[in-house]
Amino acid sequence: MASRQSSFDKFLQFFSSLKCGLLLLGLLGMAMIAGTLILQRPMAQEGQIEQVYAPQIVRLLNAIGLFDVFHTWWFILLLGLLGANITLASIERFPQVWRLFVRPHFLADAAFVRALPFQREIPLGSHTSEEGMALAAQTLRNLGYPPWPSVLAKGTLYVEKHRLARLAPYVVHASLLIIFAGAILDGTHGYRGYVSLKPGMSTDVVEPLTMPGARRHLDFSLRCDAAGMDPYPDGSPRQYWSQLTVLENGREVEHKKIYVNDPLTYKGIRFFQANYSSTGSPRKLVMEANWLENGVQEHQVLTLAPGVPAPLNTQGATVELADFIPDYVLDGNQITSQSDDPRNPAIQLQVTRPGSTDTHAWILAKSPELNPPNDTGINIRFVSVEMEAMTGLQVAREPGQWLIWTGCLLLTLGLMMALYFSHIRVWGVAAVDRKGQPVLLLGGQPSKYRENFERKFHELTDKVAGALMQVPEEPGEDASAA
Amino acid sequence: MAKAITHTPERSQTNIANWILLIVSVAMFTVLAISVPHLIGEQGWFHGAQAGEKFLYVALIAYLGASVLYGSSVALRRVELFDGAVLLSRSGFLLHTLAILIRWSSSGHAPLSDIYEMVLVFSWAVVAAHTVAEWKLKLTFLGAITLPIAALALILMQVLPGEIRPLVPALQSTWLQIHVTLAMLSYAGFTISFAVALLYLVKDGVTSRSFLSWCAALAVGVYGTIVATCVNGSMALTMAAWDPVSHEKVMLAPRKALMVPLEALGWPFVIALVLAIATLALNLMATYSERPENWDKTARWAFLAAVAIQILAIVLLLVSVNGGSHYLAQYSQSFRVRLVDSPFLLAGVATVLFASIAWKVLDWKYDSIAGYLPSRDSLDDLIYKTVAISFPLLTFMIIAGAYWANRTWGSYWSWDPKEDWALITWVTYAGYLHMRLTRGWRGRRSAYFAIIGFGIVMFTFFGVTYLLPGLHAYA
Repeated sequence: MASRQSSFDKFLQFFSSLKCGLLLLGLLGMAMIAGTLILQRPMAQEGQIEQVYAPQIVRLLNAIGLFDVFHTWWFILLLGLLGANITLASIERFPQVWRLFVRPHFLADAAFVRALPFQREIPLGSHTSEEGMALAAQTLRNLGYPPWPSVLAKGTLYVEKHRLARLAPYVVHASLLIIFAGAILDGTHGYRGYVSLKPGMSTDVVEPLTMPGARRHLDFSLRCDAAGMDPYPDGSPRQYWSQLTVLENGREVEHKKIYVNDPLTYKGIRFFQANYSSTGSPRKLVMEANWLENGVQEHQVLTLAPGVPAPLNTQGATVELADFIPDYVLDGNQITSQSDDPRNPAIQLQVTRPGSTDTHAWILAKSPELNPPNDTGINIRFVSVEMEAMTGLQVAREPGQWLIWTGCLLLTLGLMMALYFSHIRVWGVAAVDRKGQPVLLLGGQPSKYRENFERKFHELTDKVAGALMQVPEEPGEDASAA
Repeated sequence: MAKAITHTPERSQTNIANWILLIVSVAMFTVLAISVPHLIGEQGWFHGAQAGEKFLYVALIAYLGASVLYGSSVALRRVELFDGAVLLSRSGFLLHTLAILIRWSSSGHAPLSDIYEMVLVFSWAVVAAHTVAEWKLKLTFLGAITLPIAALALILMQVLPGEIRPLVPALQSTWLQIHVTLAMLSYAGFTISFAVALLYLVKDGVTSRSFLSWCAALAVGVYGTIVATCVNGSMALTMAAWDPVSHEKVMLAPRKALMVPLEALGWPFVIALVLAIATLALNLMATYSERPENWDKTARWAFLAAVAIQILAIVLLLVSVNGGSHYLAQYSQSFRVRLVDSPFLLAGVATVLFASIAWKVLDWKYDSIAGYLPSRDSLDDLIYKTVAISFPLLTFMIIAGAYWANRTWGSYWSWDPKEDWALITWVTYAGYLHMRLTRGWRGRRSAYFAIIGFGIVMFTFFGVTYLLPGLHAYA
């Protein structure tokens, strides 16, 4: 029973040790390196992994999860163990540091000061030890290093700076735990998904971002009123945007125009501008029509939308969009589209006249001289097209993010405290040197950066020595003291 | 008579210092004079963004001159050379700053958006950190390592694609500036710790043979990578074909560029690799041999031969690349190639050459250099201090990046390769700080750690960009 207890103790001791922590950091580091050198499923394209690696290797790496390192159980276990290691190590060491923090060791005697890494004996000369102490205290106070009055009354000069730096490592480690907690909360209660919307449409369904995943229904719906891309003068994209409206029970409760870098947040769910593309069909098409009517040249500008016939100023005729190919190419005798962008549109219009058969015209926007013969009797010219856009929104619910940002803030403060400040302490007591002469014995210790402290210590003690060397006001007393 | 004898060596030393000053000035003026027509060009000196690149070119010359002066002031222990080095490095820094400001004002955004601009700011941050350390801590030796690194970065920039491009939507954020500035500052800080760590090893008596082995190992790594990736079966060096009309590489398929073989150019790279491996092997023999001197001598010659072949390789490469287009029979068409498309090749070769020069200088004046350096303890302290300053900056950089990603990609952490490697760097230095603070790791172990850490930083900076592209595609 006893040995079992002790082996558990041993285990606990190892588990809370720095060695274990560094081992875990090393393992995590290696796993991460593997995760960047091997293709990862969430990042790879469909079928890319099977193309790059041999089938046996795919099977092997699949089995140990190396195609998705960052979501395997063992990677999460390593992170959990690291969290546990940090917690245990802090619990083990914190009480001692806390005791020292709230009740610092400020009383000293000569033996204590002589054991400090930096010391200096300053001859008291003609001063009594009280006078010397008071002079030294005054000098240090003037230099911005005030000794503690209550300790001074007990015969020890005690100066310290940046005691908080002692607690800083615990702040850092606690902040890491808070970040872990936030990440766990997001992993268990958060989700990420995707919504694509055409202007005018609304939805309350969020599609999963990765293929095996569940659709989710929001308890409100989201409508896209408009979406677009603002270009630079050279045509490259400057900004993508979507004008969004949140609807709850049919009521509009929030409007926001979102940009890349500036999402919409509603009820803890955030919508990001992630994608923008043309659907390949036009929203608004402007054409110019010219025809001869009873020997008179007629002219009309037509604004067309899919499914909405436009009346022609004559004979009760209407013009309708029959087909739109955004980026046409002739493939044999078939017309196909190379892309969904209106780079080289081909437009088929249908002209309906009451009492006669429908007539059709093909218009090639960029090369009208190649237009096939048209039997409508109307000469039609392309003016402009506005394409129907599809906006892709990334959806994220991250309930843990406030823990994450709190942790990050604490981490920032903690690291600055831990690495940019050193807890420095100086003690001073009255003592005698080897020759039996009375001296003020000063000693100091930093928590880190010995060289900086050494310089500071010399600077302070030089000033104190200078103050003690000054000639006393009444030379008569000097003689009587001697 | 006795007086005269004791004075002679000092006078000859002064003469050496003067000669070096003279040679460096003449060399710099010559290079400047040769470059003047190119610098003024057809459109005059001040012509938009190009003025920045010209300032940068002059800054590079100043940095190279400063590197030589810093190096020789350490090697020969001549203080008067140090003053000249400081003058050159400060003027180079001023020009470098001007180049950044000109690029900033002509592009309308802070120059932090692609790899060219990041190297521009990184090398600036290295010189800035060097200047602060030199001035605050009264260090006279740091420039011998930091200025060559800055010069190397500027040389690399001469071939990186430097045209100004408008900011893509995701980069239009204040967080870009915070994130990248913090990254460059922390990388510069780790560079300083690397420089001090190298000098610590010199002071600590690591033999010049060990440094030779490291240089040879670096050469094996670089040339091994080049031979494995760029040299084909018929010993031709292959480079991506460049289409000057579309300003793009000629692509056969997505992610598969058309490679143009440069006949026989693979040979010098293969020979350099073989010689570097031979150096390593000979050094190994020297370590276990009873008569190390002979092996040692042969190793040195092998390495010097490797260096000579490298210079030959780079000259042949430059001639071949600039010599016009290359006809490919299977496409019945000629193609051009550019060095810009192989930044890894050039950066690797330049790094090996710089390391070789540093080794040669060390080998030549080992005792003098070691004598010039301050005590081991203060160097050791300096390594720790620079890491302790840079580590929080690295942390803030990661936090700023996470916050920005959360606003842009909808997630604060995506396990993107760049993020992973930043975290690997973080874990490495976190380990270092723990060992140092709680285990009292000092001395050589600490120095080795700083060197390995710097290697990881450089991989995060360049390696990930070129080898493991992900979300951080822009840089």
